[in-house]
Amino acid sequence: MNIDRPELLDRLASEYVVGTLQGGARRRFQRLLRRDASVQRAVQSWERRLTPLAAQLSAPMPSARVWTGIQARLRPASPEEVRASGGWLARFIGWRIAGALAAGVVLGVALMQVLPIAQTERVAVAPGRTLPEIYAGFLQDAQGPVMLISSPRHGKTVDVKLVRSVTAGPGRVLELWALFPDKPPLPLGVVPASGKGQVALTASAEQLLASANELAVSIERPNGPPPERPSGSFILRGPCAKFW
Amino acid sequence: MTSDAEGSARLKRWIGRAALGDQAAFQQLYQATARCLLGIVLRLLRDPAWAEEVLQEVYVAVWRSAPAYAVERSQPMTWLMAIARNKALDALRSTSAERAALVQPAAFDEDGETALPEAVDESPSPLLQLLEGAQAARVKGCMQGLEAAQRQAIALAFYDGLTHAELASHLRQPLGTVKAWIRRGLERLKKCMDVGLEETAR
Repeated sequence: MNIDRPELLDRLASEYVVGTLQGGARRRFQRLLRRDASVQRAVQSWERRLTPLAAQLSAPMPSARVWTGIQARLRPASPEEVRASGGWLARFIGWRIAGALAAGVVLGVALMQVLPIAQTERVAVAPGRTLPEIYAGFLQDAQGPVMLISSPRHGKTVDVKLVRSVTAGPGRVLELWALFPDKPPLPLGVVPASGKGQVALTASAEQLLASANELAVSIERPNGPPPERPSGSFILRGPCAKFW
Repeated sequence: MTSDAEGSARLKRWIGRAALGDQAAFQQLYQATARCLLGIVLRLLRDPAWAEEVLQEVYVAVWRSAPAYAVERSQPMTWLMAIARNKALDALRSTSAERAALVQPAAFDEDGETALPEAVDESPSPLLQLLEGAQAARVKGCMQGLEAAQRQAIALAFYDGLTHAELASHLRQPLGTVKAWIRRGLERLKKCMDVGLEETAR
């Protein structure tokens, strides 16, 4: 299947979404869709255009056995499935921590209990599977989890993923902070306006976060030097955990 | 009365929490969306028992892919409906050989003038409220702008899941003609909708 020509890719995506792509062509296209970002974008564009046509379809509430059946099939995804879904970190943290957070248990403590602690560079999570060493934070507001933060231990970037949208408001930016038990908060950088992406650090995560016990986000003015202290209260905060 | 934006934000919140393993939030998501997604699946499969089986697969897929849902890339209802359509089409295609002889599309009316189901504008479903009404109105408007044959072929494929071959036999037209209707219809639809987008942005 040749998807290098944009007009052909667009046509295949349109036929996939409208439903007329079938048989081997449909299966080949689905394989490409799983791993190629340009194919994903083309399909999403067509889903945005066509899917609203289906909004007027409705049926009576399904019978109770449908929900019972769904519940029976919910289980933690296997590492392979999580990897394939692209959301391994969210799922990884989610499954182990959601319960602990609800019970008010500190994230770091919970992680120590469920993760095998190894002195090696990488942590084994299953036979033959490893995770990179990272600092991770799980920032919440009063309504619950909002932002997932991860930073390679020896890298100089922080990855941000939103699980719920958050905005700084017009003319303001979201500033990420590290909090310490024994010294003032340290500004780490501005979270991209979309709330998702990377924050560049001035030093390695290990140098900046080794003694941090929490990560937090405040609303600040853009431009100018990094603030010395948050200008208001933190709108999001959560424990800073080490994954190794 | 819940506004579209509030409904959408609520769906996003539930998906976000489901991504973290929150089954209660996932159940709320199910309660709010099951009727709409079953409507989509049932229209394609036309067998209530089969549709409910596939609906289970839809929500298991929603649960598993919730961590990968990207807020900035698609509206939550579009994302959910696309998962439902894909699961139903997969089910339909896996047995399309056996059912080829049984095709009786619901959307086809006598004069063949339009295969679009009538919107229930007087009492919009809660799901219709959750979806951005503007987007639905725009695609429907652009559908009406197509030639009748193109519109009918696209609607039969989209709502009823007819393949090219089924369309050709159903509409008593050569395969190539039907394929061209779909292809040109989709091209025109895209142009029409992209113009609409620019006007909205202005």
